[in-house]
Amino acid sequence: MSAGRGENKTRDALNVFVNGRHFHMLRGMTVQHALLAAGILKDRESCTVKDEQGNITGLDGALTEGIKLFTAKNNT
Amino acid sequence: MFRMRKFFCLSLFIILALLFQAGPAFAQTRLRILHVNDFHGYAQPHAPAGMKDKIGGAAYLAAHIDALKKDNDGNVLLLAAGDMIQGHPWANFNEGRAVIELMNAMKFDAMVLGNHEFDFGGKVLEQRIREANFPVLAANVEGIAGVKPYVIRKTGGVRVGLLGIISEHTPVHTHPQNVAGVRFFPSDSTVRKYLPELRKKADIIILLTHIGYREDRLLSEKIKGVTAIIGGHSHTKVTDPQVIDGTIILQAWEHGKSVGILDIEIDNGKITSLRGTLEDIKPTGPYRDDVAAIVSVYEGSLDKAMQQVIGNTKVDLEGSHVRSRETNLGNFITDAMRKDANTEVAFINGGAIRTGISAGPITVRDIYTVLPFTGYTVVMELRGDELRRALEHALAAGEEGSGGFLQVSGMKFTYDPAAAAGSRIKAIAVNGSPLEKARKYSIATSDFLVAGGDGYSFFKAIRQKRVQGQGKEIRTLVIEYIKTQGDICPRAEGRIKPETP
Repeated sequence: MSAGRGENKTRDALNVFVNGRHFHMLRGMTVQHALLAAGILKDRESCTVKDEQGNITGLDGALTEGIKLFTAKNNT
Repeated sequence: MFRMRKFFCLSLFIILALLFQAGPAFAQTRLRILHVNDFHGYAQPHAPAGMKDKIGGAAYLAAHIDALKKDNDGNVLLLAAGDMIQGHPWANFNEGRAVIELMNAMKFDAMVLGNHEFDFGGKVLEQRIREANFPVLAANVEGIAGVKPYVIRKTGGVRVGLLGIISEHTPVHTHPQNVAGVRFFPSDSTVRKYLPELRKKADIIILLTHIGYREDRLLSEKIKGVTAIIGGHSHTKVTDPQVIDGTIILQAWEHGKSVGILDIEIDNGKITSLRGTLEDIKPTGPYRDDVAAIVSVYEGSLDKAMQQVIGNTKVDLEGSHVRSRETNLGNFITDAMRKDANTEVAFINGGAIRTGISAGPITVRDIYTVLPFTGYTVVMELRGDELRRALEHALAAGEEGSGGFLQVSGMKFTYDPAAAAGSRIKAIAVNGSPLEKARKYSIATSDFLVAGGDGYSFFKAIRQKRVQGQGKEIRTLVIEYIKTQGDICPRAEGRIKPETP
């Protein structure tokens, strides 16, 4: 169900890793969706998330292919 | 005499040419590049979820930027790395016009398009670009009037080439109609295409991107000769930027909560220092009156828009039992979703519906109170047996009173409340026909459920799904649905029916 236009061949499914666990996420979804998928967020509460370089990433941040996200223990 | 004048003119020309020549004529120069990204219309100071103190605020951001400009004797460029005009209702209710007004007041030098810039449609975007006093860039987009691939800005005697790159996946981030007729091209080949041209015209090259921090890093490994990649999209707070093969990768978080600062020192045409930092914006201290005035004017407009009556309900819209049984409000919302997505079935978790509406006029604010979350529709295909499983899960959630109970459209089902969890469903009909176990049905639901929210973890494994339109929130399509109906009178009509044997 690719929705790509123009010259790009886009894939809808992304490989995303949360605390080392692998998830297939839909392109267009955000960090918050990945945390829901991982069962870390139960609702729309807050959580501090970092990428593999240790940078803080906003919950509304777009997921990209291969992204690795980590949450602090006290957030889970 | 004529020969003397000719000689004088020629000498003047050569001197002027040397003075203004491009390339490494400048001696010691320090450039400062300020940048923000993913502002998303957050003009007022706000306390993000889980935080007590407010942060951000456009008037404070503007004053902070002015101070940072002053520190560097004016050799400063102010850039925006996309997703500026859409997001917060303050911006959405005027389709991003307010943000462009802010950016004009703050004297931005350039901006790259983000995927959310398309959320109001191509025509509105073209209008926003016409209103902007700064160039709007995206080298890998065709079909939007006024967009430029790059721009050269001269500051401190240095010609800075700014090349814009947007995510090539933008068509799956927004409603298909928003990108009709627009073509997107891959980032890396586009950069390679423009680099030779830019090298001739600029002393340093900066990529202004909206593809995400990880993609920026990958891009830096594929291309050479770029001083910096200033990005957005992943909302990454890059406090300790890394230099990869001579390219510094930067991003300044989100929502105007911080400003990025890149200081570049150049000596005899060579870059001797690249230093990137972030400074948080706090709503204390100096602020810009003119920017605060713009924020205030559009706050007033937003308040008026919220009070707008969009229709009338002849009956109370019931929001208190959405977690345990069929309600007329749940029916109405899911009918609106099903119509917008043109699917056979729609459902939403009761937890998304936070209150009801009394009979009488319905305002925009009423709908924002009923649906306070910024959810959007995702379309997926479920087999009959998968749909049954979802409904069994909904009934189990309903028993617990959790938000996972589903409100539905396009289908009816009966169940035995006394039966064991997982085997309560007795009969399901989709648009009047009995459910077929192996048949696929098109379903419209929310991004929250598709991500596995409220315990619907098995939705994560469904591969046939697509975002229907991240730019159009569910509450927006409900507002549009009410506007087309005028008077509404939804009823609970036996879509979800308990039957005790």
